[in-house]
Amino acid sequence: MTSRTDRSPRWLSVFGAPILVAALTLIGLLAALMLGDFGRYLSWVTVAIPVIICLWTWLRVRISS
Amino acid sequence: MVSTLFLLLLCLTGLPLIFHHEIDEALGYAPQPEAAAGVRPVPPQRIVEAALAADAGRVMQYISWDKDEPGLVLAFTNDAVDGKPDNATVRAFDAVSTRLLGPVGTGPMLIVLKLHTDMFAGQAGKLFLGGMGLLFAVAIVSGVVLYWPFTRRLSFATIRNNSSRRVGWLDWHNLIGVVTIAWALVVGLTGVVNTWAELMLAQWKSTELAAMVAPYAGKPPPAHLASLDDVVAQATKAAPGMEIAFIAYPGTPFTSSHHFAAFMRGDTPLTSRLLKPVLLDGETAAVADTRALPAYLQALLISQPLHFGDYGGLPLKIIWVALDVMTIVVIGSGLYLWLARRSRKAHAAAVRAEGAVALASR
Repeated sequence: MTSRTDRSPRWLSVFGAPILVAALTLIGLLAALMLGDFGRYLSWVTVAIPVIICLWTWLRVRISS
Repeated sequence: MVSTLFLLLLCLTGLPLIFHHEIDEALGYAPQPEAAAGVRPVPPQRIVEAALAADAGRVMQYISWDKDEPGLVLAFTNDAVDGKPDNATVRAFDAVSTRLLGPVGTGPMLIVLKLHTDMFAGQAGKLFLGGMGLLFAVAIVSGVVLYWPFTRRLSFATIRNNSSRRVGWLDWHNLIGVVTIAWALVVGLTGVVNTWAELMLAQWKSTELAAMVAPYAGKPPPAHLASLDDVVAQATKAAPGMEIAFIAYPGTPFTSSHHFAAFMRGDTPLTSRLLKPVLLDGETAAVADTRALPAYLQALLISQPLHFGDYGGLPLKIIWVALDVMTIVVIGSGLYLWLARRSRKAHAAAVRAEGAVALASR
């Protein structure tokens, strides 16, 4: 039987990174609309995070294989 | 399965649309203004005269000013003021010389746009694709639910490359899908909202616009139209700090039969999207009423840049393309995994059936 305290960290390890990526993506999407030039630069970084994660994973897999 | 094919169609046609300005320019379908820096544009009525001269026998529907290309004025003419959008002709004119620069919205990108928005099936096609967009959102939510059992024993971004090809693609499907959730939901749902544009406009006309023109009920269409110069001057005075995005002529779907409607925009990235209508008498150009658009139309206007990705410069467009390609990979890999699972199940059923036959024959 899994206790509540055991489950929480596992839940966070599975969904923590995706939630952070989603939050940063949303911040970037809205920043470009609402914060002028600064928001535009911020959006380039935050909205690109999913692309960077996948490129980094692809490189890691290629190097390890 | 069928919805997956339509989602692939939307993603594939959406890809070139991200760069449709650049593609139109490269193919010669984007009229360019003549270089006239520092020269004041001509009064807008001169553009109207040039547009009607270029399209004899037809009438003006709209005239619009591109905020990114101040040297261009777009004139929309049609067989009648309430003519079908597909029958409208859009021409670009130089704001200084009034020279006709060429048609707008033609070329191969128009075909891609029609495929993406309504598949050449009009409003029914739009609503159908909107339904596909809703299914896309449901698929994303179901993907989040399935993400837990498939990844709870793995670290984030684990790709089991030394397992079977199917397992490797499952990991890629899960990773790309989960990191693009927010973007895919925003683009998918704003696309759905865009398919409701005509319905929202009809609702606005029957409620807000009807209330704005109620004091003028029963007035006939203008016997003669006010000069557009007066319309522009009065509208600009009625909405200080704003500039005109476009003007709808009396009788068009964006206004009443008796009024011009000038749609004003602000100068920040957000307020330049949130239009404010100013109604003006069709004969005298006197301001009749002005009020902010209701929340649902403001939501529609804000949803457009969030869907198109055209509000953060070239880098954001490139990121949009990358995310679109990643979504295509997620949809394609989902299809592959579904087919692989079906074939494995069919194979297992065949093996079980063979075993049963063998047992029975002993």
